[in-house]
Amino acid sequence: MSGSLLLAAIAVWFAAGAVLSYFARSAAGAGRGMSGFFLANRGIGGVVSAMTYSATTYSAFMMVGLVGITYRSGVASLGFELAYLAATVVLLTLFAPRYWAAGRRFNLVTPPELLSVRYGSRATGGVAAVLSLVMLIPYASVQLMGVGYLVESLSGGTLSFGLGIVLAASVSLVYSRWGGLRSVAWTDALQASIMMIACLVLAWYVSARLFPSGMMEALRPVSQLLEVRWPRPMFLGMTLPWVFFAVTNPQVVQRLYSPRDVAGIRRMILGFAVFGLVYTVLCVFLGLAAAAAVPGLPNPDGAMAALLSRAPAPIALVVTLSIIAAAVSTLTAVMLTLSSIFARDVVRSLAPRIGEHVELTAGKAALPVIAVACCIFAALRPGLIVVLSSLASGGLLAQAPAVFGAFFWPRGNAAGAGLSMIAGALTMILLTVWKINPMGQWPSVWTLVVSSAVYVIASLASRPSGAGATFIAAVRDEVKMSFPGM
Amino acid sequence: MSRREKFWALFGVLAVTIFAALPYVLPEGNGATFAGPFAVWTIGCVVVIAAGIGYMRPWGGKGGNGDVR
Repeated sequence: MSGSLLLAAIAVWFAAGAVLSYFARSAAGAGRGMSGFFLANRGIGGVVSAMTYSATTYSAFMMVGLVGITYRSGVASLGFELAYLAATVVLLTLFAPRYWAAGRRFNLVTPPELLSVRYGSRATGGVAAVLSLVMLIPYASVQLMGVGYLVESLSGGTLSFGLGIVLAASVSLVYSRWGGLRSVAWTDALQASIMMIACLVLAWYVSARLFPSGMMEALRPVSQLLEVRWPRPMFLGMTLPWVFFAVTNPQVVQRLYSPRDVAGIRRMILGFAVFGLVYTVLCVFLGLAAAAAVPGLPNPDGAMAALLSRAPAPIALVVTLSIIAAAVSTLTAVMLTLSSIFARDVVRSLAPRIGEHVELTAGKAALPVIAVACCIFAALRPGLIVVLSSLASGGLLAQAPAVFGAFFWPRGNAAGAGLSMIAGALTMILLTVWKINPMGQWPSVWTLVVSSAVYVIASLASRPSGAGATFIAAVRDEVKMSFPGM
Repeated sequence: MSRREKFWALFGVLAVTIFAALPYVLPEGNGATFAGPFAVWTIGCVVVIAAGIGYMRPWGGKGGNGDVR
C-alpha cells in the first residue's frame, strides 16, 4: 500500500470525524461547565452510549495485540477476552445504575471524585487520581504504538512509526478538545461502525477467498492453536485485571455518568455486549487465520499487518483505518478522562475555591500535555503491546476493593481505601519490575489479594465513619426510585 | 441489595468463573477443533449475556426522574 494513498484515506476519515465533531459542538449548545464538556450534560442516548462505550473499550489492542497473541499462543486469548466481556456485563448490570444514580445525586464528574465523596476524604480521591494518571499514560501510549507499527509496516516504511504516532495523537486532540464528550461520543459512533464493518469484511475475505477450502482445512498445520496452551497462572494473571476493567478504568467508568435515562443504560449494556461478542470472536478468528496464512513471523504484533498484505488494497485500507479509529477512540476517551481528573481531583482539591470556569480551563489545558506525554512514551517503543496493556490494567486493579466497598460495605473507610490502593499499586509495580511471581501467580493476582486484605484490615482497625452508610443509603434510594426491579 | 440483585450477582460470578475455567478442567476431547475451547468459551459468554439481558428487562421503560442536576 502506498504511503500517499494511506495518508489520503486518513485525511478523508479525519474530515468525516471533524464534520461530526463540528455538529456535535453545535448541537451541544449548553456544553459549558464541567458536566457540559466532560459528560455532555448527562444527556447521551442509549445507542450512542453503546457505541462510545464499545469504541472506548475496544482499542487497537484488539486488531493488533489480540490478533498477535492469538497468532502466537492460540485460542486461550478468546477465553481471556470473553471472560472479560461476560464479567463486564455482570458488573455493569450491578454498578452502572449505582454510578449513574450517584453521579446525578452528588453531581459527580470523575470516578475518583466518587471515592472522595463516598469516603469523605479528598486524599482518597487524590490517590485514585494519581493512580489513574500514572497507569493510563502507558495504556494510551499503547494505542499510539499500534497505529505507529501499522502505518509503518503497511506503507512499506514510506510513512514512519513516529508519523503514525503524531497523526493519531493530533486527531485525538482535535476531537476531544473541540467539543468534549459530545464530540467524542459522536465520533466514537463513527469509529465503532468502521471497526465492526472492517472486521466483518476482512473475516469474510479470509474465509471465502483466502481459505476457500474451509478454515479447519487451512488450520490443519497449526491446529494446536485451537487447544488451550496458556498455563493456568498466565490465564488467571492476564484475565483478572480485565475482569474488573469496567469498575477500575476511569475512562469507561466515566461513561456511566453520561446516559440520558434508564433505558439508555440498558441499551448501552446490551449494545456493548453484542458488539463485544462479535468483535472478539472475529479478532481471534483473524489471529488464527494469520497463523495459517503467514506463519513464522518473528514479531506476533505484526500478524495483522502481514495478513493485510495478503488482502486486496481496498480491504487493507479500510481495516487499517478501522485500527486507527479504534486507537483514536480509546485515546480520546483516556485523554478526556485524565484531563477531567486533573481538573477536578488535582487542581480543585489543591484550590477548592476556584470557580468552575477556571477548573474547566485547567482541564482543557491538560489535554495537549497528556497527548505529548503519550507520544513520548510511545516513541520509546516498550515491549509487547498486550503485556503492557495488561500491566496498566493490573495497576488500576488496586482500586477494585475501594470501589466495591464504596457501594456495598458501609464499614469501609478512607484509611482502608487509600492504603489499599497504595499497597496494591506498589505490589503490582514492584513484582513487575523485579519479575517475581510468588507461588507461581502473576502480579495482578497479588495486587488484588494485597489491596483487598489491606482495605478490610485498615478499615476495621481505624475509626468508622458515618459517611459510608449515608452515601450508600442515598445511592440505594436513587437507584430504587429510577430502576424498576432493583 | 435486593434479593433479585443478590441472586443475579451470585449467578453471574459463578457462571463467569465456571465457563472461563471449563476448558482447563475438561478432558481434551475436541481440543484441536472449533468444537473445543473455542465453542465452550463462546457459548458460555452468550449464556451470560442472555441472562444479563433478562435481568435488565424491567429497565425497558424511560425510567429515571429525568432530573439533570
